[in-house]
Amino acid sequence: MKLDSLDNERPIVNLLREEYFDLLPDIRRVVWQLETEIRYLTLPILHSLKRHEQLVVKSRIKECESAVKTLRKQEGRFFDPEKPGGYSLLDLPDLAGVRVLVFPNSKLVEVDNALHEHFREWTYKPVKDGNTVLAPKYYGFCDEVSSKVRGEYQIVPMLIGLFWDVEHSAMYKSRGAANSGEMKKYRADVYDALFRFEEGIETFEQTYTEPPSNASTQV
Amino acid sequence: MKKDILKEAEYWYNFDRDIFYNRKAKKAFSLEFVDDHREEELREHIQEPIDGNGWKFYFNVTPSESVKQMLEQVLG
Repeated sequence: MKLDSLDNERPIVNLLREEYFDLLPDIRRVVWQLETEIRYLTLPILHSLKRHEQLVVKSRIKECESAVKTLRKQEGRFFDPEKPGGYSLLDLPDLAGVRVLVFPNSKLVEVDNALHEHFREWTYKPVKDGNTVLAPKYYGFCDEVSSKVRGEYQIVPMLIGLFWDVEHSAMYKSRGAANSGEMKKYRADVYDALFRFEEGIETFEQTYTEPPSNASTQV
Repeated sequence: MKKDILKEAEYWYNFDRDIFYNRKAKKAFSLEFVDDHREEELREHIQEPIDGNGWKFYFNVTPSESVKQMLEQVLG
């Protein structure tokens, strides 16, 4: 009987699933530690926000199937049965991830500096669109809680981060379409529009002055 | 555009494997290969004859025999 293609991969996938659940307690500890540290470090910024500014900290643990799928990177998206021991989820830097969403964009540098002071040893790998850095991203170890699982944090302009959430849900299955020239252009147009919107809001906030409270009574 | 060249040559896209394939021609192009090669090169590869009865895989990194077998089963 001919083996189904998935049967050939199954031993590797099963090993990775087993590894995932072995690592899960560590992943949880890392994400809790990282989120707590980031909330603490950004608290002074949160308390000093102006009325129109926002800072939101979100965390997530990468799902098992998503982790396995991410690891299946080679062309054709197969695990090679000829190297069953050649795969480990520990190669993924984002099993435990925290995202800091900031609005407006000018807050990004302030948050980045505050966190970088604390996470000096972490590796910098920004999210880019061409040569433009969209979001600073770092990964490394929270030594207090795990020497195996790395954590990752990124600081993202809020409008782009929310756009990514929608885009990820919509394009999750169709990587090819997501990377097509047309979609890249549409995506660039969205980034451009979001940047311009933020600039507009910031200019408005800088130049706008409240009318005097008795303005309506003046002739 | 590359996508149009492949569509014109009756290649389909496999979403799970990120592969463009044509069962009749028995050729498959990985997404990475398509990304990394120019339109003219792609046209040449679509046109070129294949040896034997097996599938020809246009990948940046040649897949192992096991992976080729799995891909052949998936592509039919």
